[in-house]
Amino acid sequence: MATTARSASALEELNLTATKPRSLWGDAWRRLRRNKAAMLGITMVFLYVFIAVAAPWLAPKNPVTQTSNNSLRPPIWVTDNPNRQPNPEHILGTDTNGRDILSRLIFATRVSLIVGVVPQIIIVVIGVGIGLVAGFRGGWVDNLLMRLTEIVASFPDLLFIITLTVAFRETLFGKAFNGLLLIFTALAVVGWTSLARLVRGQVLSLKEKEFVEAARALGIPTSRILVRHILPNTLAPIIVAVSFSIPSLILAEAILTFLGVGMRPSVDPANPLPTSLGQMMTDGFNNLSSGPWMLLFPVLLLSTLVISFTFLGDGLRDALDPRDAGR
Amino acid sequence: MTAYIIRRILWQIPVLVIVGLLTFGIAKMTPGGPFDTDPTRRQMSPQVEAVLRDRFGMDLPFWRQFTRYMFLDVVTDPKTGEQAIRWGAIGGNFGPTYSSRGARTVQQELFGERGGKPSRFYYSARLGVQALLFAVLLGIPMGVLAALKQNTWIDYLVLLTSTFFVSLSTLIVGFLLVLIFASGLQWFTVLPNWNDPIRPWILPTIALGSTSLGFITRLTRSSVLEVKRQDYVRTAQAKGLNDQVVVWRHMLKNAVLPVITILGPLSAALITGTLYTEIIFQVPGMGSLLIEAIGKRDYSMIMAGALVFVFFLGLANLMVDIAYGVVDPRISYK
Repeated sequence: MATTARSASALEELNLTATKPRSLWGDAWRRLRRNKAAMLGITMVFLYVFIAVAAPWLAPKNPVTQTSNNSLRPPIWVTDNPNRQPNPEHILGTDTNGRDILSRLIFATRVSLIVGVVPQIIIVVIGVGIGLVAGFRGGWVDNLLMRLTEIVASFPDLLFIITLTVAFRETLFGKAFNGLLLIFTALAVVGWTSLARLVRGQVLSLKEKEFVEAARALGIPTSRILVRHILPNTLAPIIVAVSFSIPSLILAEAILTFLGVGMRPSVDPANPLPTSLGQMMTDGFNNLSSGPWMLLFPVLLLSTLVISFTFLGDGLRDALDPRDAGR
Repeated sequence: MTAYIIRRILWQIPVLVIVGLLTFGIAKMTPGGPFDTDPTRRQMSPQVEAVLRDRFGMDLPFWRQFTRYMFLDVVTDPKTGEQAIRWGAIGGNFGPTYSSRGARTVQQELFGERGGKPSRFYYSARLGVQALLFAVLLGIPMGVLAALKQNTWIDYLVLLTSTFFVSLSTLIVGFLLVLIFASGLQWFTVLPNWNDPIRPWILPTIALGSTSLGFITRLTRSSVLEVKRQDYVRTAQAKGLNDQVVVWRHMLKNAVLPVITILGPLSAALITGTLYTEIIFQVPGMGSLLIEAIGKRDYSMIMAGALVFVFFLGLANLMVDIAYGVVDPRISYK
């Protein structure tokens, strides 16, 4: 007993000499800041968010307006083809319809980020909800929810999404927002399973902890225990999972659109979401021999976007869960 | 072990039935039928449509249509009046394709040879197996190399490349390969010549295998790093064993176990990855056939595609489980 008392006072002394007590989040932020790749990722992500928000002011041209006799202009530094000279007004060239590629890329960044975020919010709501309930309730509720999760997860996700989008593509729902609403729903319906499993596992171990027992002994209602005591403790793994899932959602949009079941092209010059990277890549792929730059630029943009999020995710994982660092 | 395998195979049946029910139900709910044609072109006469509807059994109740498609149907010969059982999807009969208006069956399209050329299935299966071999045979040595040279430039290079492969996915890697090697350097033709046994396979194999390559490399590296610190490795080194023997005989055997577990999810990625890899590299396989069917709203083909893909996924997972049991004798299946 005496030794514990002494070590406690020693600890107190240590605390007095130390500058400030460190919180989990403060610690994580410090670790994150030291990670160069993660900081690069964060900077890039902020840059893309800025581009997406400020798209109408940044884009030199309207992304949809077509100009005649201006199609398939190469980027301004490609001057070796005498038949096809670049137009100085279009830095990255034009596509088959004479639309400015740079402007289209800027607007496509919007769609990519929205596809990365909106379904993600639905996924978090469904996944965390199901995981919390299944893990905390246990018994037949847990059994039922986990069987459901298993069935959804046993379907190859891309195939499931394709089936859903094919089925509802021609309905009013499928046509809303150029098909974006359907993509969001399909991605969310299929994507929540791993998060639900993750949260359930966390809850299972947390609910046996003393602080939950103490809360229960104090007579705090279950809903409050879940929201105030258990949920905050599962946040770190959820954040890591989300940051890894965003790039895969962005890629999924590109894949679906490339397969012809994703976003529909828009011809409305006032549309705030006129095109996506998937659409630009499809256009570019179909005109590979005549205008490879039409494919090259969206591919490069998508690569940097995805890699930025991956760097950020890797950094967050190392920062929030130091045990796994170096894996 | 045998009981376990049998149970796993039996578990596949409800999964396939649910997948069939889902795709079938969704296909039924979809507005627009398979015989709807472009309104600007010549329309089908009502008589012809009635015959077709009858042949495809489209006026039967839902459950009859489904059991008929999935399991079996009792057909009566109109002349002799004899009754016979016609098997459905579980007997490998996926019915006629809508787009050919019943002239060809789905299984002919998927598995049949077309004018002396190999079947669609052959292209997809070969591509998938090649990609997996590429990923395993390159990924494990790369991971081992990186772990043995930990914190040198070799390690960083391997880590960086594998992170790129993992995050970029098959789609971007495929596009980049086309842009660099086919469109730019022109080492390969954009339009492949499939009579050539090697050349047209190179790029799609690399693209499809790239994600798995990245995962396997990273996993091998971290598990070798873990094994490296184990006592039995130190014992082996202390005995004066040659470094090569320690690495290949003692370390690799244990380091490779996690790689086998990841092969299950990876084969899922490979199987769905064939969908767009086949489009990018114009491989005449099942994936590109399925995408064509989606465009034509050929529901019998779409459903068969989904069923076949899920079936092979289950098969791949089963083989991974068995391989795991064979490699690691500590694991026993109940």
